[in-house]
Parts: sequence; C-alpha cells; structure tokens
Amino acid sequence: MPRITRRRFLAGAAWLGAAVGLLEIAGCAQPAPATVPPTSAPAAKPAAPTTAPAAQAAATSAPAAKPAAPSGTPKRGGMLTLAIHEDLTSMDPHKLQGVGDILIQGLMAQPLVTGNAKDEIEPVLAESYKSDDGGKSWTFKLRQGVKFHNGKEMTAEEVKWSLDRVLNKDVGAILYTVFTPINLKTTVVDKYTVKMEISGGYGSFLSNLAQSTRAAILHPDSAGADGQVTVPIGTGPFQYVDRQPGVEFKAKRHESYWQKAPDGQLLPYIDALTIKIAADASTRLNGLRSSEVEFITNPPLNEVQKWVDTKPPEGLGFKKWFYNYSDYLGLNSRRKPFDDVRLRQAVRYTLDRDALNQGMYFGLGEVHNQPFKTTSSWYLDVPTVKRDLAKAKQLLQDAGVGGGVDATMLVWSPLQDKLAEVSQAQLSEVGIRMKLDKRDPANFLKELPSYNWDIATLVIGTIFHPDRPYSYLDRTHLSHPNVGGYDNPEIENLLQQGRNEPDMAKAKAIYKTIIEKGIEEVGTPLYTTNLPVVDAWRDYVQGFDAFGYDLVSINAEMGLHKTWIAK
Amino acid sequence: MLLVYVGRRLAALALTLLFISVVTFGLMRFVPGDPIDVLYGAERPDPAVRAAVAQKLGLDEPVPVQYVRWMGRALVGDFGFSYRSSQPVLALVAYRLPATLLLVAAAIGLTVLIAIPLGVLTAVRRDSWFDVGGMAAALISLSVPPFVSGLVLVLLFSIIFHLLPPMGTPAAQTGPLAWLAYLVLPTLTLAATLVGVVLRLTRSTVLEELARDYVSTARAKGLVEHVVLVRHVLKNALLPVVTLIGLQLSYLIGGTVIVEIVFAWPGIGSLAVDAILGRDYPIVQAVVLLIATLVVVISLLVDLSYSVLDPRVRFA
Repeated sequence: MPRITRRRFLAGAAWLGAAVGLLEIAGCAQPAPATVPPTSAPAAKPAAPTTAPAAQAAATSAPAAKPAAPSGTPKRGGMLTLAIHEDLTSMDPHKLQGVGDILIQGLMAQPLVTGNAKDEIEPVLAESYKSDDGGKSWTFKLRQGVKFHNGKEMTAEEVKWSLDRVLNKDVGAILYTVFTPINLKTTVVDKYTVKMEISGGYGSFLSNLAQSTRAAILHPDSAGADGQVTVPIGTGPFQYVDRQPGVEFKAKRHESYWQKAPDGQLLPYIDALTIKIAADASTRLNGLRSSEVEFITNPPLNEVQKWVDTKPPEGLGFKKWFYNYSDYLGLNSRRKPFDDVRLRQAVRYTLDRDALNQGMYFGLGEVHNQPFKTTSSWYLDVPTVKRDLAKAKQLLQDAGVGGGVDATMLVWSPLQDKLAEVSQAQLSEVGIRMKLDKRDPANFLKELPSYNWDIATLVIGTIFHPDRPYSYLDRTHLSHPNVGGYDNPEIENLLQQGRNEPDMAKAKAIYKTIIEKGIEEVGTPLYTTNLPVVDAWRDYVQGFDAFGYDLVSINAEMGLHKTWIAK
Repeated sequence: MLLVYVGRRLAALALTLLFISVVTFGLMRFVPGDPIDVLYGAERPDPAVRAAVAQKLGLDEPVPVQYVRWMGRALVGDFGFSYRSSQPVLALVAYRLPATLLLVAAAIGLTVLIAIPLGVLTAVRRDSWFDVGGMAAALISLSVPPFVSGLVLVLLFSIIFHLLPPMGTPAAQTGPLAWLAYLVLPTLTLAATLVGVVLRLTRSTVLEELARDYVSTARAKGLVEHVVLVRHVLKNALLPVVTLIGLQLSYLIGGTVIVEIVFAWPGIGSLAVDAILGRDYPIVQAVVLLIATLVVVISLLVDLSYSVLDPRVRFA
C-alpha cells in the first residue's frame, strides 16, 4: 500500500475541497424552497419531544384511526409481555400516587365504585349503593362470591378493615387527608352490607372512593406486623408473582376472579403478564416493533401523529384516548406581578392553547379550560377565553407595566418542560419575560409551597369530581397545596357548597359559578390541554379497548382482563 | 513487600469509603427535596401522616444520628430498605450489579480485542491508508454519542433485520446464549465509544516506543519484526493503555446509565439515577459506596499489573 506523503495528502484535500465548492455553487442555482411562516409564532421552538409525558389515559374522543374490532373467538392462555413507562411508587394500593401505580395496582386491587367514561360513578365490588339522607350516609350492598387472591371471600368485614386502614395515620394512605376531616365511619350491617357515615363532603365522597385503588378492598393478610402492605391481596384479575423495582413486574391470572365474559368464560383470558419498565418511549416502541414486547404504553407522540395521519406500521394496533389528566399553570397571586388581576388576565389572553397542544403533543392533546376531558359529565359549558394579544398588552399598559415585566416560572422538570418553554415563548410576545426555574420532582414539590415563584407548571389527574381539582383554590383544604395562593372567601364558600352537594345538577351549577369567577379573576389554575394517552400492541393482541388509564378498566367493554393473545 | 503494599492500599480503601459515606450522606440531605414529598407527589400528606412516615423512615432524627445508625448497620451488611419499594437495598443492588459487571466486562473485553491490535497496526503502518482509515474510525467513535450509536444499532439489528433483541434481559432460567443475544447491542454501543480512545492511545504509545534506541538495537540483533513488537515494544507501550482501560472501567461501573436507558438494561447506573431523583437515600448511599469500592479495587489491580508488564516496577 503506497505511503501517503504530506504533499499527496494536501493535493487530495484540495481536490476534495474544490469538488465540494462546485457542488455548493450548483446547489445555489436551485430556487430556495418556500418557507411557511408560522401561524402562531412561538419565539423559541421547542424540540420535538421524544418521550411522551407520564400521562393518564381517558375517554375516547373520536380517534382518527380506530383500532380493529376484536376478531375471532377469545382464546385462553398465553403470557403477555408489556413495556410501560413508569414503575410503581409503592406496592400498597392505598398509597397509589404515580402513573405506574395506576397501571399496575389496578391489575391487583379494586375499589367499591369507579368512574365510567363520562365520570359517572358505577359499582365495581359494590353491587349497588344508595343514600337516603343527602349523602350523609351510604349503604353498599356488596357483590357476593368475590374471592381475594388467597381464595377467601370478600365480605363486609374486609371492606371495613380496608377503609379503617385508610384512616390509620401510621399507614400513610393517600386518602387519610380526605376521609379524616369528614369523620368517615364504616360499619358492618351484615355479611354483604356495609354502611359508611360522613360529616361532610357529601357530594364528592363517592368520587373519592373511586380514586383508582386508593380505597381498594384488600384482605387483612395483605398487611404485615407493621401494618404495611408489601404484597397486596386484592380481588383484581391478576395477582402478584414477582417484582424487580425499576426492571419488571410479574403477575398471573387470579383463577377465582369474579368477573366473567359475556359468553360465560372465566376472566382473564391471559395466563400471565410480564411488565417491563422502560422509561424511554423509543425503547418501548423498538421493543414492540421487534416483538420483544407485545403491548406498550405511551409510544413517541411524533410517531403516533404519523399513525393517526396515515396508519400504524404493519402488525401494530393502537388507540389514543383521554383521561382527566390536565396540564395547567398556577399563577401566584400572593406577590408581584400577579397579585394584580390585570396581569393574570393578560396571561389568560396571551395563551394559545392550540399552539401549546401542537408544541407539546403534536396536536394530539385535547384543548380545554377545565380539568376534565371534554366528554365528561363534569365538563361545563364555560367558553374558553380566546387569545387576544392586543387586549393582553392593553391590560399590561393599564397595570403600568406596558414596557414589560419579569417573572419566574417554576417548572416540574422534565415532565412539563415543553409546557414551560412554549408558554414562555407565548408570554414573551406581550412583554411578560419568564425565567424558567426547572426543578426535578422532589425539588419542585419542596419549592412549591414556598410561593417563591410567579407561575408554576402542574398536572392534575385521577379525578371524577370537581372538588379535588378545585380544592387547589381552598386555603383550608388539607390535601392540596393552595396553588397560586388565591384567597377568596366567596370562592371557598362555593367550594364547600359544591363539595357537600350530592345532587349532580345542583353541583354543576355551583362549579360553573366557580369556574366563571375563576376565569374572570384568574385565581383558577389555567388549564390548557388534556394529555393524550396512547397504547399500542401487536395485532395478535386482541380485545384491548379500555377507556381508563389503568390497564384494567372494570366497567369498560374491554380491558387487559378481557384481552387475549390470538396466536 | 507486595503484601504490605496491598495491605496499605486496602487500609486506605477503608478511610476512603468512610470519607465518601460522610460526604454522600451529607450531600443528599443538603440537596433540596424531601423523600416524603416524592412518596406522596402532589398529594400533600397530612402533618400527622408525614410525622408518622418520617419516624418510620428514621428521617425525624438529627442527620448525624441518622448517619451513625446507618453506618452501624452498614458495617454488618445491612444497608436498610428502599423508601419507595420497601425492599432491602442489598437485594436491589445485588440484582443489578451482575448486569452492570457483565455489560462493562463485555464492553471492555471487546474494546481491548479491537482497539489494541488496531492501534498497533496503525502505528506499524503509519501514514498508510490503513492508518488514515483507523484514525478516521477512531474519530467517528469518539464523536458519535452512545445514544445515537445505540439507536442506529437497534434500527439495523432489531427492527430491520430482526436479528437481536433491542431491550431488556432474558427471562430467568435461560441459557448463556440468550444472554449473549441481549448483550450484543448494549456492548457494541459502549465499545463503539471506547474503541476510539484506546486505539488512539495505543497507536501513540507504540509509535513512541518504536522510535526508541532499544528497538533499533533489537532489529540490529536480527530479531524479526513481530518479535520486536510483541516481546519488547508492546510491554512498554501498554503501560499507559492499561491505566486508561482501568480508568474507563471505573467510569463505566456507574457511567452506563444512558445505555441502560436506551436498552432498558437493569444496571446500577439507572438504579442510582432513579434513587437520586426519588431521594431514596439508602439506595444512593449503598450504590455510591459500592462504586467507590470497585473503583479503588480496580485501581489497585491496575497498579499491580504494572509489575507484570514492567519488572522494574516494585512496590515499596
């Protein structure tokens, strides 16, 4: 092989450079491609998200591509391998907190009631329920013959034990702060009847019982000597087998599961589940495309957009739906600049929700102004304020900051980086210059109650009643931080009324007033978009069509418990 | 002498670990964010519940007391329980460590197999097209980030050609061949970055040695070229390369988190990052101590290997 001398190398480089130069000249002779001016120009274009946010799935709203209807006869057997984007926070269903908890705990544990696709309460382990005194007490008739994973039958005793457990502060259950102030008392009436008495929150009580597995019915053998649950013994269609935190979770069929298919077959069809934890959306999609896994949650939204516009890759099925899981901005009305209602209103008139949706979710989200999906029974007829930059600028002028104002946005990072970046760009158009203070979740949660910020990015989910999201406005509510520091006795009084109103029609009227007043004064968090939730699967995975975020939606037509592997 | 040397190094290890444990313990508690907030997310717990959980986790005690309690248990092998999963920390780490060691060993092994022979060859054939090609390959290796090379490999071998799995590890009770299939892509991804560094250094050190007088003497004595290379040049040239490989090995023990995420590989890197974000202090402390121990041991082994490569090296 000839040696390359310095002279020969320089000569070669010169020829290469000349060739490149000629190509450039040739390229410049072509007409430049037409540029499309942006329709709603964010100053800073966000990078395309490669991972879908940790979102909760919910109601379908006419997806562009419908999944194929289940074909063939359900086939019993097989192991389904899934990849999901978030692991459990806790093995205790009563401490359900994150998305991973919702996905996995729902396989094993079930509540008395749940919310359906329209957020109306429906029975699950309760066969029926009623209140004869305006919600002050509720009588639940339990479904008979329901077996726990240990083979023992569910009776009123186990229901009482489970609800009493939630009220034990040493357990640390999430709903402790909700049920303790209302003095929840659970009484066994007979083997299959339970009575619950409360001293407040009459309107929202059932929705709190329906918060996924936070009030799930467990067998007392679930708890160890210290009262903590490390392996839940529930009534769900699948029971725990093994787990490696952050790696995988294994479950097998509950052989005595109470629910049967319409054709009388025992459910679930699948023998076992292996759920792998893969935080990166591309990793999950690669796993699905290579058939290493057969079902994934939250594929990359840029890919989903293509599937919606055209079709998914061969061999794959998918569905996009919405749950009540909303991004929102909280404005801090305790200090300048947003103690001035005109500046809060200016923010309201500046936000372009469609552009936010496009920037965050490739247009796949659902634009809204309330923390519910638009098909929810609780989504009220309150028009969304339209973007009006002239009005926003006028408001700033009236407030004496026509030259602009500086403020800080506390960002839950990386979950809401896109919301922060796109809204920062939009607000800069009217002179509201936001400095982004991105914090990891632990740091964010520590900083939030300090009110040392001007706008905060947040999410709200797992809701079947407005009390929970709007309690963010209530200074006296124990469960939530008073996001925004809003202080309005009239609103607090309305919140109390809504919380205690068992009649849905009357409650809706109350909350409509709260929202309208909130929009007028912008103490209300600014709800922007409902997160899109997408599941995808190999096409031989049949029967999955749950509406809810958990993989088993008890009252939906289909769910993982009614899924079968057709191969 | 050697035993005294090793003994002194191991004694230094104990002091190093003590220092690291104090720093890690303190730093984690200085970092803003509360483990209890992470457990409850935006669902702010009742003060009574917060107090009960803090007591259960031992977080209600002063930090020095927490440290002493933790150290007392750690000395007998009890590193506590994960705040989130409630599983023993030792079990969590013990599950993840073999996966990391396997991946790191495979990546280093592949790197050595490729980079050292190529480095020697490019040095011997200096200024040839082979040399130029080798240096270009090294530059590409150094320039392309692991997550890019990883995704390209997945696209080729998993999606297009369906040859290798793109993520995870095989099910339990599967044989070594199954593990090999899952290991290939993450190993190639890691090695793709390492090869460039080792190749360039090997080339550089071999070129230096080839220019020395003893090489001319050896040739003048009539030794064939490959004997000169292997028996004389390589031993001297490899000393800095061994040091580099030792450093890379130490870095990789905790530094494979990107590859672990791309391939959903259950290593201690992702365990540590997840624990840090979740303020799961017991896991962070255990993993940091483990990595520190491994780094010190690797460093000791590298130093000991010098005496094998160069008999002039003695340990005082």
